[in-house]
Amino acid sequence: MCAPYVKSGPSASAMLNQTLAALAAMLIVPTVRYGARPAAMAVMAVLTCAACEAFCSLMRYGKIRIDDSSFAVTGLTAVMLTPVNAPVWLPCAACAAAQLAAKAPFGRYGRPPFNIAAVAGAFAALCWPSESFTYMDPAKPFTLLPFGACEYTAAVSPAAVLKNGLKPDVQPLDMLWGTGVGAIGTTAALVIAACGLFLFIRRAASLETTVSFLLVCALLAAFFPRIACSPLTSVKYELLSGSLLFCSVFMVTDPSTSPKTFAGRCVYGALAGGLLMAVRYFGAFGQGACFAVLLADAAVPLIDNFSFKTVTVFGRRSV
Amino acid sequence: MWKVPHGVKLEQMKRPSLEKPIAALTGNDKKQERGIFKLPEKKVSSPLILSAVGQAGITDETDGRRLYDKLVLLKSGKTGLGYAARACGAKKTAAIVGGSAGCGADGKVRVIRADPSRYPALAPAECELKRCGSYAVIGAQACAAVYDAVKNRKPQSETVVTVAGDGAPDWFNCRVKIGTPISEVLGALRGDYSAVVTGSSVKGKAAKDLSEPVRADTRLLLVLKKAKARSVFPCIGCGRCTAACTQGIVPWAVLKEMESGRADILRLPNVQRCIGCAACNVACPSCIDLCAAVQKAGRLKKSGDIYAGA
Amino acid sequence: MRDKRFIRRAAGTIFANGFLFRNPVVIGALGMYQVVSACYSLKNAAALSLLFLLTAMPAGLVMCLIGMALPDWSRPGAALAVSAMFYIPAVYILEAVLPGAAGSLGFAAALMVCNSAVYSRVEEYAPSHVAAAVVADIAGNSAGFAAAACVTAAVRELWLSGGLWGRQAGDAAGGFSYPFAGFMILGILAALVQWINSRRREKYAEKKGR
Repeated sequence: MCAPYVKSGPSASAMLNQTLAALAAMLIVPTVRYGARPAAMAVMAVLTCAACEAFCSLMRYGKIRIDDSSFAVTGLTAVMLTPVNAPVWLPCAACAAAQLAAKAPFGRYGRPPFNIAAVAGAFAALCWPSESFTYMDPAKPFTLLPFGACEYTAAVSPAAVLKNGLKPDVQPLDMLWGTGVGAIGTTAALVIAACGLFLFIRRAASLETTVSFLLVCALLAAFFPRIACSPLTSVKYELLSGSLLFCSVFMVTDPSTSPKTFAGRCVYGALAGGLLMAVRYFGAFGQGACFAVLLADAAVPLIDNFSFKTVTVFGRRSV
Repeated sequence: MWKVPHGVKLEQMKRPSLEKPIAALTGNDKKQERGIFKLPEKKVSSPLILSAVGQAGITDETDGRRLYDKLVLLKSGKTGLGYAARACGAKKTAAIVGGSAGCGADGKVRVIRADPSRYPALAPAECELKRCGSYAVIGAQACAAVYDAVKNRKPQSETVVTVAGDGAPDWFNCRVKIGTPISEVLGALRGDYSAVVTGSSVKGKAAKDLSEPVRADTRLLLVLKKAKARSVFPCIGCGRCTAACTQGIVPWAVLKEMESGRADILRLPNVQRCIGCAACNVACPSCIDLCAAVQKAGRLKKSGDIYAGA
Repeated sequence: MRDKRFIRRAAGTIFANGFLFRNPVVIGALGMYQVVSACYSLKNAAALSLLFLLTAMPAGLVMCLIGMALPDWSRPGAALAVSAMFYIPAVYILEAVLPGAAGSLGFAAALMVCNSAVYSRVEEYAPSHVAAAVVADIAGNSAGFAAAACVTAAVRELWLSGGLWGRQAGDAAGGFSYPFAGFMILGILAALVQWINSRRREKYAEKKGR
């Protein structure tokens, strides 16, 4: 036991647990809609992350030591970015690669400079692009066994339609409820917003990062629409398609990989938003949230240095 | 835009010590203390007051220092401050009061309000005092002991201790003799507790043995149901320590610099101003001892050895 | 330096340093681009390794001969010019050994002229050391580059096509053929060599302590 004996505010592990609770809440809608398969994928991904964490702590410390729930957050986030019809091994393999390559060399939660879930998503996108970006049409009949093969009708996601310069068939309002074509956790915009609100109120996520991220994405969508429509329609489609909204709440807000100052977080959010739209417009994949987050994470030490110098020279004075 | 820094909000506030009356601990030793010399009724001069304070053996509860040494230092002007209070010839006095409670002043004393829910509560008040020039803060009990020494010729033998914490169902203030064992102070306490902390909830020390005596600077006994062991994480970069610090220090940057192995003192701004309040430790969700890192940085900067490193 | 045993032992140490303990790719982080971008098949790795040896060795010997006679400011340019001069015969020999390799490698092969590992040996080491040392150093560095490239390529080719030596040069198909996989494998190799070096340092410290 050591000072301080009465602390204010949540601890790092409590913040992680709150994020975990939000992600678990995100699983409800897909599980109700598609059956046990999303839950099964989530369980397998989390178990894979736990196994990797245990292995790495054995290598490092000689004993199994898991202090926090960051591995579960990684597993669930990776599953949210995966299509429900993807093989169960896909998020597991991606999580294993991310844990071993991006987390193990650096240490515990707080040390890795890159968002581990984003590394998992990027790894899956690069190594298995067809499995990562093939979605099913939820309006047509489907059979999704928890661990077995799936029977479904393939459909093109709104993000892919936008990539081709066409307007998606679905209305923006219909993209709020989680009934559209897309990854497990990225289609229910209202649920994402509710989870985001919970995290902002509990101060487990920083609001300024999300706001600056969404603002830049919206401005770019309004001024440079990919489809022939009004700026507002372009903003609606761009913000509601793909994993942009999910990324804005669960990935760019990770306190351990984002800058440590208010101004720095605003710059980081704006940078990530710009990069995401650049990847969408010019990249090979229709969805680039993971790549944008990783590129922005690479710039975080520079942003921290610059904002620290600005804060100490122009900002804080002592009493 | 610079705002007056307001520290960090604590879960347990100073309310019990401000709103509850002071009870006398029963069974106090009635042994006669040796009185100090008699002072004249009128025109009690500064040297006489100083002698009385020295004979009374008063300890200032705010920082645990002998009040005589503090006043002599202030009077000598070695710190650069002018004279303080009547003993050291201060021009103005003020009372720092927590919350909305009255202070029983005679109307001539200026009152500065401090927010008891923020920590450190004195920081904004000290910010205001600094604008008036040189100042010193002396604890209320030390001031009361000065009065006792000058008027009643009594040495300091008692102190007021607040008993609080989740292990104490009723929080109370009590006046106890200095030297009373902690177990005696807690004797009447109902409730289960496993740890007792002396001093503040932020910087206090866990009492290893309840027969430890109460000292003049023991202001609080924190009684805890469960001794929480918190695991320390690496810095997650939330920036809460910066918001909590009242001295303009950026603790996360100082920690990063000190952990780098080759600390550059030019990248440690304001560390010499650290008052050791440990508000950064309270705010840190990773439970890192930022105060120790900042104080180490302060010592490094003070040494002037730019090649010393961490 | 006339003692042949001493020369052999010194050359052996220099070779071992170049090959493993101070491997130019995994420890020196030199010449990484070609390894991560082009070494996704063993044929590519073999071709690049041969090109490394055939370019660096003659260039190093020439710079060993004339290097110190040149002014300091001209030595970098001279090193690049000499490397470029020996690149063309090197490609000719490569085509004879592995037909079609140089053409399909494209600019990854041409970059051997300014490969930082080749440049560092030819410009920094060769002018100030005797010929025997230069030969041992370049041979060691070539072997080190070949080892790093071949291990990286073998892992990536096994992942991509399940076999070795079957994949054509220039046949990139996503996944592990991307450079990130090369960086990950090089990182693991670097950790392995660093571990070996730390064990050696501990053993040396123990021996010295006794």
